[in-house]
Amino acid sequence: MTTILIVALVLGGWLLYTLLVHPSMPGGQFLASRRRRHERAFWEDVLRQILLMRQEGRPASEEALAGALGKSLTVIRGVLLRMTDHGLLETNGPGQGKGEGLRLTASGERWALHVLRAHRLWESYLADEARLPMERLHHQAEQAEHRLSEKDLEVLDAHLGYPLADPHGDPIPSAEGFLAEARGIALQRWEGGEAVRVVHVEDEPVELFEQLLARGIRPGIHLRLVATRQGALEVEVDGQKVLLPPELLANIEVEADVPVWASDPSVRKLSQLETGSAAEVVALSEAIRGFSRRRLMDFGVTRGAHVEPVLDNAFGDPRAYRVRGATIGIRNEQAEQIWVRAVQGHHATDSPQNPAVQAGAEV
Amino acid sequence: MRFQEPPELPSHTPLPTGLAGAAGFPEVTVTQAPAEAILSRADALRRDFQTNFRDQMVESIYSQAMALAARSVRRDGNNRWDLDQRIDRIVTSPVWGLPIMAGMLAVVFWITIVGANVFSELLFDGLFLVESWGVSLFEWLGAPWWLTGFLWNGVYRGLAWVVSVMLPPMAIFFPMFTILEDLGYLPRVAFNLDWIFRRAGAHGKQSLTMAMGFGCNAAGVIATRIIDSPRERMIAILTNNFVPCNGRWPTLIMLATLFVAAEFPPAVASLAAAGTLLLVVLLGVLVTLVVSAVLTRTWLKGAASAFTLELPPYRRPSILRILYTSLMDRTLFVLYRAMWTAAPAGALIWVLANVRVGDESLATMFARMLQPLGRAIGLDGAVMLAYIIAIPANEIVVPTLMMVYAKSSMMMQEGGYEAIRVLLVDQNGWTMLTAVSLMLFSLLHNPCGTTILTIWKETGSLRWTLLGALMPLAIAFGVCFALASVARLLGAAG
Repeated sequence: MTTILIVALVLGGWLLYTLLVHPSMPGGQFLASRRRRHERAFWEDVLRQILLMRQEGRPASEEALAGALGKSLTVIRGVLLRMTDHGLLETNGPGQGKGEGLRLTASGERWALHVLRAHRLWESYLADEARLPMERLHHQAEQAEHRLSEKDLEVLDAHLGYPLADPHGDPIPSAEGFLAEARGIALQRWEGGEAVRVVHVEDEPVELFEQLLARGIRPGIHLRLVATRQGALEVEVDGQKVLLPPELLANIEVEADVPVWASDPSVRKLSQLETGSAAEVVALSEAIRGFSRRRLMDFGVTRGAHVEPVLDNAFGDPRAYRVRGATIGIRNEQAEQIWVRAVQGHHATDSPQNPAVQAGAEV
Repeated sequence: MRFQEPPELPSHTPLPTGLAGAAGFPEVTVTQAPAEAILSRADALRRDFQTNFRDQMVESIYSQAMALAARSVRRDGNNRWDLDQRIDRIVTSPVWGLPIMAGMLAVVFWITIVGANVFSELLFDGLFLVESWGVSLFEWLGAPWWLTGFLWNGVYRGLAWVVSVMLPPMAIFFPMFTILEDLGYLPRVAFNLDWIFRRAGAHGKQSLTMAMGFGCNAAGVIATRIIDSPRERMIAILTNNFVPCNGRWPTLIMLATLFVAAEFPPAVASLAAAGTLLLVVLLGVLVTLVVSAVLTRTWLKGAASAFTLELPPYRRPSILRILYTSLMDRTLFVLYRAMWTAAPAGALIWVLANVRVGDESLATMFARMLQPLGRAIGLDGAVMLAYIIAIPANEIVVPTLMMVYAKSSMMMQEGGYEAIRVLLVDQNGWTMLTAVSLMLFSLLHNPCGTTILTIWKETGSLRWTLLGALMPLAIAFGVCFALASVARLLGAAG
């Protein structure tokens, strides 16, 4: 009796194995392809991480990788070995088991750049075209970066108009593999003047990123540094004072390139303009990107254009503005990101010329 | 390197006129050089342009256009614009904007309901005359009773019912809607209401697709194409069902007249009925906003997107074009789809009413089986059955209900409201609670088959279609169940 049971179990097990798991069978093929996809995604994460570490000037060690990817050291060692076998990585000789000098080979680097490009282009697409909120971009791009082929990226890149930086301000590698240096200096280490322009906001970890967004910090915005208080920095964002605790300072990168108008007291937000007055557009904030920016440009909201708020509604939002002979409704949320300078007695419909030509390249 | 061979560039290629020097462009001189060098130089230069580059191109295009216009266009004042602005100041004014809008909506409804009544009856009589001719013809030919019944009393009657209830209101509502659209008034509505919808994470233009939904939810779903953000468009699609369409108006009007108006003295009865309808509509709008807000925080997470809306100059509507777009594109299109779903429903109803198990028809049997479910939400089995059968088209809810109650063999119209009142209240024990529950259920329940199909076509996704169909159903059951439970606790349901 027991013998029959054992034989049946063995036979059944074998049958199940051949049908479902064996690599030559449909079930097995499914499992194998799934495994391959997972493995591939893992490799790509490792490649991207090593590339990022090199960009930031941190040594790529096994420990650092394990920490960044949330895997155990054993798993990381295993995958590094397999990737080295495939000629994607090289270490500084067999003696250095610690992997202190993990380096990407030429083919490893090309692959890593592709993944980084996919990640950042997809984030740009989500932010500019699908208009997803900033804090959700990273997670979505983490998934998409493993699915996009080089051909997909070419199409996407062209569709987005070959952007140079993603919504966080990170440079996007070009199709030829050129990756620009990061421009900014961490706010922590900033020693320049009191007016700065945010060029990059780090999106990981998400908790800190959300805190930054809640304080109105995003790439393209101008900050005025007010005072330091026990490591924390008080800054003025859009006329409002905000306190940045030390842990946030490291995640903001800035540069000194602040346009002249930013310190001009007569420059205001379009949303602050009284109905019936007239103004000319000084600049559109960099935070208006992609679709929204194109749409405003289509309506003729460009530098030097005359705008007049003409209609309020019951809620005061959106308001309608007269621009180049058309009436358009704009939400206050966006009007807050359009900078204008009041002008006297100039009727928008009568203005024959676009003063953009005279305004020159002051932005 | 995967460069294609670029075309030979002549030396000293000038930039397109108008671009060079127009907006602070760097002077570029291109000399004869290998293709790759040119391309990499171009890429390097591009990096210095930053985001301004595109802005500058648009700026220079605009400045050229304006210079051209200044040379060749002469302005003698601007009377049109002054008039437009005067109208705009009134219809978007903080004080009058919303009342004017509500007034217009009320007028459109009133004309639709009153006008449709007349034409519906004419159409009804005409189409049913054809049915009696068809039946006579088949009897003369000696066709078996079941074939005559199935084709004429089932399929044809289902079709005729939907056409006569649906066509007149649509043929009146859509042209009026299109007139407002052509006038240029609709963008002002979106402008007035955007704030409310933004608070719910939705788009101001959803107010327009919602208004379209009063005519027909399927047309409303199609109309969501005007919303360019995919997330907000999906919200508009999923919530369009919460405004009652033409197919549901008859049910609501009947209940408001029979139950609410009957509680009031005759002098104000019609006012009470109208007030009830207004309440139902407002409740529908409220549910739309609440569900939009919930979707924004759950499945369709995100912030309200950019909103830029042109308020075009007012224009004189062109009547021919209005008749064409509203009749061909909207009315006939919707009617065509509705007929495809109504015909099988008519057939099904006939089969249910005529196939007998023991000594009761299938319809009666199913109604008995659905009784506990209906009771739980303050209704009864016959209503549940009517709603299941009426999934393809909501117009046939009332006639099917009458059929089940009267144990008739086909959908029927009782003669006048008094007869319906006797059938509902005296013979089937309806109370005010039943009427209110049915009104709520009618407002909130799943969209009709045509709308579900349209959602599927517009979204191309089974998942969203299922959500669009099942979410309202769950809400309808939830709300009605809560109401019935409260009523039971208070002893109102006996």
